[in-house]
Amino acid sequence: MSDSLAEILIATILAAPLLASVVIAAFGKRLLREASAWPCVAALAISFVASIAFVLAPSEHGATAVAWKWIDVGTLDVPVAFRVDAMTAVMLSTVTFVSTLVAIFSSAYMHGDRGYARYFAAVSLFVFSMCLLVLADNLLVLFAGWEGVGLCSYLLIGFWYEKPAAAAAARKAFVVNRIGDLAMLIGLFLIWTSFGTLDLPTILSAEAIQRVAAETYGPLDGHAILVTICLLLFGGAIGKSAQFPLMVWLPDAMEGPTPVSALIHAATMVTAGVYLVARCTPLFLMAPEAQTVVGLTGGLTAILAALIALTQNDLKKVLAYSTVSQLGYMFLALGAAVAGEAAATAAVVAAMFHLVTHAFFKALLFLGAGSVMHAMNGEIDVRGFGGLRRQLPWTHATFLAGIAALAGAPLLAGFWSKDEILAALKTASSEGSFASYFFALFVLAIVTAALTAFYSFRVYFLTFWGEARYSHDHVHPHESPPAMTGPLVALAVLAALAGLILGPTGMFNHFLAHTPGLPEAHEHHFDWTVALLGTLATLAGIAFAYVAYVASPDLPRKLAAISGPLYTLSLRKFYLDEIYGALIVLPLLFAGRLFSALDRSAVDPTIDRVAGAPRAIGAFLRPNQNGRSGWYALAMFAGVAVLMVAAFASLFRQRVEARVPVEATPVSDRADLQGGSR
Amino acid sequence: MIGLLPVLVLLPLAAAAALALLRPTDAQTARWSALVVSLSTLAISLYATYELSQARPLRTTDPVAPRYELRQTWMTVPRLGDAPDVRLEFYLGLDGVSALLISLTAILTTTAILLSWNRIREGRTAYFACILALESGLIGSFCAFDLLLFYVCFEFTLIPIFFLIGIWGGQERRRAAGRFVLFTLCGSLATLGGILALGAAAAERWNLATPFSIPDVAAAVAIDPLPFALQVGLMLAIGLGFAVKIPLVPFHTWQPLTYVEAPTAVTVLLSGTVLKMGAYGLFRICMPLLPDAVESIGVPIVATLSVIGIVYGALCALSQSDMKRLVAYSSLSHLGFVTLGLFALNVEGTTGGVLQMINHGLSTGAIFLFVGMIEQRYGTRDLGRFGGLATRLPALAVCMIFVCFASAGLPMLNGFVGEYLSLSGMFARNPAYAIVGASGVVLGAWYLLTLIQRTFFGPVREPQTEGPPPPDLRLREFAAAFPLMALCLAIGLYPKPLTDLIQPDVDRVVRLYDFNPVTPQVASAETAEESDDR
Amino acid sequence: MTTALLDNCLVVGAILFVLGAVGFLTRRNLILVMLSSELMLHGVSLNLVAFSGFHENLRGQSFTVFILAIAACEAGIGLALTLALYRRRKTLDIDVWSDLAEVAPRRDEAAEAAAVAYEADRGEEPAFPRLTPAGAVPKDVPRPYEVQARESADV
Repeated sequence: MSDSLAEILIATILAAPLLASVVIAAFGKRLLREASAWPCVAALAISFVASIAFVLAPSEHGATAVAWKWIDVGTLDVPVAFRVDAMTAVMLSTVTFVSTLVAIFSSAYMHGDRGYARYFAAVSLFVFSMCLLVLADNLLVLFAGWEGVGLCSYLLIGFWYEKPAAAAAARKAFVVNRIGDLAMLIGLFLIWTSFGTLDLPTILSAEAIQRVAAETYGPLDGHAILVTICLLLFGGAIGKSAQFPLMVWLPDAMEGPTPVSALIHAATMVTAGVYLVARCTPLFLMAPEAQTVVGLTGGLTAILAALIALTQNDLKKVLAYSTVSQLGYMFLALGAAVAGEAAATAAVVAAMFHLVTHAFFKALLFLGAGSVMHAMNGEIDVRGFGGLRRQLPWTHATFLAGIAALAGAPLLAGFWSKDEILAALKTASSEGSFASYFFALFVLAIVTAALTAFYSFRVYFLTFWGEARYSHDHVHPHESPPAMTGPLVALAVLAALAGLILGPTGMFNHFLAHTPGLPEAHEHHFDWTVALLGTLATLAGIAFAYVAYVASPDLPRKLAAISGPLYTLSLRKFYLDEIYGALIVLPLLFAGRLFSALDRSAVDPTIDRVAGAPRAIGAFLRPNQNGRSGWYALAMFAGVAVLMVAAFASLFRQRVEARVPVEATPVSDRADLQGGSR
Repeated sequence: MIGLLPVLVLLPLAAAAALALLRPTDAQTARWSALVVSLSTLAISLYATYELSQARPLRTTDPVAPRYELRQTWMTVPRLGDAPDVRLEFYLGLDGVSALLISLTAILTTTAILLSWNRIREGRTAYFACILALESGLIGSFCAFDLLLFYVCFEFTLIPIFFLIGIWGGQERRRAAGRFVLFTLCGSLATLGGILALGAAAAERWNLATPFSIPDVAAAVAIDPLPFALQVGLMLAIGLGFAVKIPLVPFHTWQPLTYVEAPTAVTVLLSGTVLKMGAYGLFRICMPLLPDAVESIGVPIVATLSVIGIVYGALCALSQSDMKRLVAYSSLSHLGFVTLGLFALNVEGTTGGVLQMINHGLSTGAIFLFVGMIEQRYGTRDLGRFGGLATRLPALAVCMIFVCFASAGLPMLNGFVGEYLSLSGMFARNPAYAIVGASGVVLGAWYLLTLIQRTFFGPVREPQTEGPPPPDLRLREFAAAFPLMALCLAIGLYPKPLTDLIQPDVDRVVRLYDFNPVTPQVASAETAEESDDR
Repeated sequence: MTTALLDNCLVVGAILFVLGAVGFLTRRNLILVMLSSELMLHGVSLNLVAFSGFHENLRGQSFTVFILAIAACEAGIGLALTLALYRRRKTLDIDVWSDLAEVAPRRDEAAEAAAVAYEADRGEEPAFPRLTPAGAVPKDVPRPYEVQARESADV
């Protein structure tokens, strides 16, 4: 592909959604109205086609384009630069593909909403920001996209702003994300002071990393700096990808429209953290401590979120926690890259592979949930569903494909990517100085796989099997229109087949291994033991779900009663929200109250008192100004007298010092008093 | 070009004098002529800025060097002995920093006049005269290159502000006006003392004929600095007035009261431009003239106070229920980034600090603008009485959300560039300050989004109003706000024209400090490239 | 002129000046205050004339002539003012005119009425200005500044 063509394509990928957003924002409400969806869908499709071009015709070192110089002050030189390499191309086409389908789905799903145009303007803007994030060749530009998707997420979570819960969730999402962004920002500062630039190719180049590692910076050596940088960048990823301890915003974000949850909070934006860490692999390779932290965080999040998902009754919440859990899985894989250069590429590729398959099946699941909600008049509690497979055949079939893929049922997409992650973990647990940690993580991952299979099939059975638990008087479930089922089918096909096509054939691995910066990869071998373990875990989970929710529906209640506090712990999401509220939010709000009270009752009066000092002095002097002319005259005389005494005294002292007696010079002899008129 | 400088300063003043002569009933004439005058000032200042950006950079390496200057001897004071007579000058100049601040002043004055169009009902002629006089004082202090002239303009602004708050303000206007003037006067008294002592020291030490000319003194300082103890004393004295004006933390209590009580247009001007005189003073006077004191004493003091201000202001803002008070505290918090950046004393940070002055003026000014519009519609600013206004006033809501995000430092909007530069500059000097300061990014998002959430989101809840329901954004209101918002976006996307204007002047000053933010090897490579450019 | 003569002249001048000063400070009658100031002026004039003779030039004398002329004008204007003031308040007590006190005094109608009554008591003929005894407080006249001092104590 020629350079100029690449530049045009990059420009197209970015400009199309931006343009659509501007057009819809400007004309949507008045002119386009119900047609507002089409500019958006068209633009996203154009972006997708342009992205696919990069997948079909990859260039070895990546295509680059520079738009303009954004910041250029002193040594801080930030061009708005873009680059497409293998990893970018994969990410781009996934993002644009899913978003196109979601936009088509939304055009029917959001039909009749007052904010129809606003919705599509925000979605287009989101895709633009996401592409900016993915394409960025400079960390600050990446950060711009990073915050841009945060903004769009804010706007879309708070889309139904009349709902107080939605407004609160939007704010929470943005602020919690900002905490992660703070870490990332500090990471950028540190990168700038140590590397002297924010350009990704320079930062990721072996020479620059070696140089920084060899350098010392005050009390820290180069290695510590690298680890700190990686941890700070990962801090940003924790916020965006909703990892422990910043995972609290994602479940709340389900207040937004369901297609938004599918697009932003499952398939694309939340994977930005994974993408960032994957992109910075060369840095992380030099900081195994940071990689271990990544792996531990991912593992902890994966199991924690899976445990919470076991007991949730809100269909979207279950999917949200499963997203958190699956993202934790991806970070597990990224952490497993610690096992030396040889295994690193396989691990990173596994993470990216899971990212892609997850995007397909999770978007599918959310859209399916949206379709169910559409059928059930907005009902979202799985306890209010049941037996829907007859009324919603298409939705059911596609949802089953998605849920099976999520659970990791053999041969479906999730199976292959999960298997690669497990394989990477196994490698990591056999090599390197952190092997014992990763062995624990490997076990954890298998357990999580079983839990995932259980909770995903739990909601599936509760929704589509058993007796109808809703009243037929109020609800008449009906299959969704083709604009909604179409995307479902497309995604279902991918969720079923993408793994089989891309995974075992090695297509994905070969393609992604071309990413500059990734170390040379070894040939990929399919690991039967790992696959068998994973499959067993999955099947156990599914079987248990079937027993508990189809065969003997009383079992769950008994189990809940037995486990008691553990059940409550999971149901109440480990009290994370409450803990944060008590430990962080309340103290800060209290400090705010305290400070502003301090302002009013301590600082203010103190300053008033200081300002009172002149008044006190004035009160002391005031009686002198009594209006009696005699008193004034006396003061005048006294003043003159004092001056005269002083003048005479100084004159006298001068004479004495000059040793000239006062009488020595007769006045009549002094020329200076005689005047010249004589 | 040079001839335009006095016009910039004197045109609003002359117009103010002419307006003051009008009969109080000539309101129509008053506001139209005020608008015309402010627009022409704006045109001149923009032209001057454009000219400046096209001009070739100066070759001199003096720490302060205006690219255009106009020097007139005002009076000559003879000195004893052989020392040359001391000349006090009327010394106007223009460099990148002052040009931008003048443009900002002109923009915000126009905005303020548009905002007060119907808002002010009594004594309009006097009101607009005061606004124009204020503009004149502000422009004067931004392009004064003489210490005394700067001080005169700096203090002159108090007079119109006193009347603007005391006559047209809210319930507690008298207390607010009194407190504002007393606070700033006390501070600037110390500044006056410091300036006089500095002039005296300059005359004494280097036998300067113009000991109050900032460029001349700065050039002398660069070669032969004052004794350290004297510098410290001067810096504390001079800095006190600026610290009150900015305000830095223990001196900030005039701010919430004044902002709340002042008429909204005046609040816009106060937060947007008047406060900048303080930061500008630090940059223009303290940094080039007292380098050793600034580096060893000033940085820790100012950076600590800024960081405290960032956190303290943000937390206070979180707990406010009065919109204007909330924004007032947010302004306190955001100005911390300005001083933090300025006192990074490297090109990146200081440029960021100056840029952040402009950004803060634009975005905080715009927030006050919209808060004022809401207040005008409903007659209250109590957050507890609002909710879901996005349904009632969608356009206003969109604009408000936009400026709040600009203020919260969203990339591609103006606040981010300034904050990023300031913080990264400070990070290079001392990471601790930058890290604590950066927490303001989180807190800022928190309280601004709280403001939005409570005002615009949720079910509709609005105070009772008489007559028809309040209209959405009017055309005139949009015209007042649009330039600010457009600039927010433009600066965010492409700040280079501004930083290019600022950077040479900052570069001159920070060269005194000889500090390289980037590690030695990289830096040597980078500076090698740069020196080729120069 | 000898030194001794000069000394005598200076002593007389000083005595005159001090007498004038003491009168100026202690008297409360407007006319006497003016007279005292004239006395001071002439004490100074005498000094000038004496030095003029001592130095044998005309500078001091020419100054004295100036002073005399100005004193005459001053007396004219001063007496006219005194008359105008008297017509206002019917008294020559200088303390009635204390409007420049720190807190501007309200006009004390009662005090002024009392002063008028005091003047009227002295005789049946049209009330001419009378001399207020030096330093002594007139018996029945409450002095304005006292009233006002009490008021301002509350402020």
